[in-house]
Amino acid sequence: MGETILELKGIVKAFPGVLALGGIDFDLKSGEVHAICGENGAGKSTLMKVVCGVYPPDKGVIRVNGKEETFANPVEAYEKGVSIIFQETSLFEEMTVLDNMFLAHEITRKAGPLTVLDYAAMRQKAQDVFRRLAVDIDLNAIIKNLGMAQKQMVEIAKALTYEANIIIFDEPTASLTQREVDALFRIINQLKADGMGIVYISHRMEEIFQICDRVTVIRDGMYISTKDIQQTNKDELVADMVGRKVGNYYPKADTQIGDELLRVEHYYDEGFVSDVNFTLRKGEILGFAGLAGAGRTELMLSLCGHAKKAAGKVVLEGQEVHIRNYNDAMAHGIVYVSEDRGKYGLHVDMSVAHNITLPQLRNFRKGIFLSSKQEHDIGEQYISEVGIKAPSPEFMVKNLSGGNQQKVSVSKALAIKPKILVLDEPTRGVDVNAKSEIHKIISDLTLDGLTIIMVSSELPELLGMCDRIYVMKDGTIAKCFDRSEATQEKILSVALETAREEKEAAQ
Amino acid sequence: MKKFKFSFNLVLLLIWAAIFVAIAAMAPTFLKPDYIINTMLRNIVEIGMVALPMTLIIITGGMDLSVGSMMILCAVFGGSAAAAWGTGAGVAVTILVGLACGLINGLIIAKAKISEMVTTLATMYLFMGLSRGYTEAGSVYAYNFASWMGNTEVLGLPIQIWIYAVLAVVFVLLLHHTAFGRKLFAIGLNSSAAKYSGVNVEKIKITLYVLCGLICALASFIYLGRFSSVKYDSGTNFNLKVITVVVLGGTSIVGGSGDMKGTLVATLIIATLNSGLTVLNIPIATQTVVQGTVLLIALVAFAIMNQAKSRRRGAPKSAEPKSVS
Repeated sequence: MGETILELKGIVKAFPGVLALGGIDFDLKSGEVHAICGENGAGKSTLMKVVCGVYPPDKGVIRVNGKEETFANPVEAYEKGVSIIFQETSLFEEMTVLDNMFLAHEITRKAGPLTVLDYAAMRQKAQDVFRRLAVDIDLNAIIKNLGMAQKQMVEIAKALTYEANIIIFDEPTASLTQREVDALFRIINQLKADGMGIVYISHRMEEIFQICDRVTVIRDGMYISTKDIQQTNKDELVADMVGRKVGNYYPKADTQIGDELLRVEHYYDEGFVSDVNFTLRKGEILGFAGLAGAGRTELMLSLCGHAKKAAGKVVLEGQEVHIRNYNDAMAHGIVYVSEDRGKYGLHVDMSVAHNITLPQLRNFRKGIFLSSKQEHDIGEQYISEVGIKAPSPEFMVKNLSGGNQQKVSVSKALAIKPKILVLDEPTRGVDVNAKSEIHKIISDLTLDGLTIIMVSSELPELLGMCDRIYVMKDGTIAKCFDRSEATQEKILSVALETAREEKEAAQ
Repeated sequence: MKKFKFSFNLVLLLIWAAIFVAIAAMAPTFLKPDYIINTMLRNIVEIGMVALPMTLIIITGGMDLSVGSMMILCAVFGGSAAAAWGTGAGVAVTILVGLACGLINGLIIAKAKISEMVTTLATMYLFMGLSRGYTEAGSVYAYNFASWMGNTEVLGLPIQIWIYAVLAVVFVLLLHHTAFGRKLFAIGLNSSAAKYSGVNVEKIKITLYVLCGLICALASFIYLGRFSSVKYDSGTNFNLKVITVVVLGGTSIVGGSGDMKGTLVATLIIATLNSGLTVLNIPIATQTVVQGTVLLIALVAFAIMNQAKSRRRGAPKSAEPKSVS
């Protein structure tokens, strides 16, 4: 580890009515990966936005490479060597990789009286960067045709074209599969070996212990601690983040598992699902593991009536059922909670109550008109039952934090009074505290006799919550593990095996 | 949100009051009940009527450019049928043509997933072409039912104003107080999420365009009766006038937000401007300029209020959640 390249002293930032940052200290050395941890809303993102010039700090000093700086905008920060890679990539979907990399700092040359783009020089530089990263991406590819992981590589490459020596990663692994995470970590390690400083913001404890050298915890906008990774542990960090000891991560209740509730035989759907067989027993939490693209979400969507062209047999409580649309699924007591809250799960521009009632408006009527009182009441009911932190049922969903939005999404499903609740990535993008609250809710639901299918890419979550875990690969089920025999290694090896076979078959 | 909408409607009402008072002050004849009823209100009824389903369509993020052509096609086929086979046939054909045109729009938009704008742009020309071809560019004349719809007084008001008033109440209730109305907002805000909540987006879209066709058929009786004859191109620009009313009323052109009461006030504003400027003997060119200016003022007012709203929310939001969580 080398000299200090980024130093923050007493950063204060207030918004009307809210003290977002109350005097944060932070330092980053060259050749280190320094994690910033904290719950959603702790101020991590605000801090990084202050560093790269999105917000000016009210007080405090930012020193970059030894010089005191105040950036007016992110471009200035880029030029001084500070790059930030946001959670949602900021690339232009319709443009090529090369155009994106040099956007706003194109290399030009003189052609007579005109200044024109020097594509040859840009291409050369881009190739150098990708060679340095040991990544192979077609410079002419259109961004929208790339996978999430490749987009991130392009973002990193873009940062390197600015000669950045400080790179900030904001939740980089949120939508990556394990394999892609490994590739990303290889690159982070390489950047580190090249003497760059990396700020790594993440919720995922496992990753922080895998990749980082030091970790700084902030809570409610206040600096809490900075520790060497070797001298701390998960419990200690979580305690720092939430301000108290979190005991059991996975509050799984002991439930009585009943008879077979759902049986799916030789299920097929156009696109990604083929010959799926599984059973679900009353009162259990059934997990679905697999790599992204293994067909888990597609299978659940298809079973819940969003099928393209389904075939096969679905037996619910001993009766064969035909689910043609989501209303059929709801009528049979099967409801789906989407992995993508913003896009499919919720109307963020509508109120909490209106989101909850949307799937079953007919039940909230007085005569032919909607009853705002009934809608208000059910909103109140779920706000208190599920613990949604919203001031009223009329509160807009978009003004809630991720964890609370997820609770609205779950409430919307629960209000349908389902028999089977299908949860797709129920804790994606929510902070540690909300995560364990959601796990607690899920566990309590099984005590009330609900049966749950849980799709998740976080293996510890599946291992902690589920009674059985099916591993999917290539649109079908590869293996089923019992709670007692399942381990992270076993599941991963089954999920990855296929990917390897597939690769060999392709060659 | 509710409070905010109320205040935009209030701004609209104030704009309307200001225009009304200004014109009345300059031209006292304007205030005669006869002028207000028979010129100002009677002339806007068809536009106001079609603006009702158009508001619903625009709230779902859609658009119907074919309304003018549809109305004229209804009048042309209906008028011809009446001339050939009598009034009953005329009425039936008018309504069937309206339903059929709406169904064509709806099916193409919902099933073939072609954009609303492009689909109805194409059918706008298609319907206009049919009218032209069928009439060989001649005129179609009013028959007794149409004349009655266009020229009868009931309790001191033209019958079309009563019809419009009833429809206006029905549409306000439909949009703001029924499950159907709620689903329209849901589709406009996020149609994927609506679909994942069990909303049958395709069926609702088809219903909307068919409803719009039906209202165009209804408007065509009144239009044909009022002018006693129509030509294939009589509906030119009718679509833009209707959309102007809807947009002036504060309905977002990208869908998801809007207010039927805003559309009603906007209809009044346009009616007042049209008749008032004529009363003042202002040349038609200047009238158009004034209309454009009023529309711009309303849109800018709306945008400013919107920004103020998001600023109030924006700051605490970026600092995230302490306000809430």
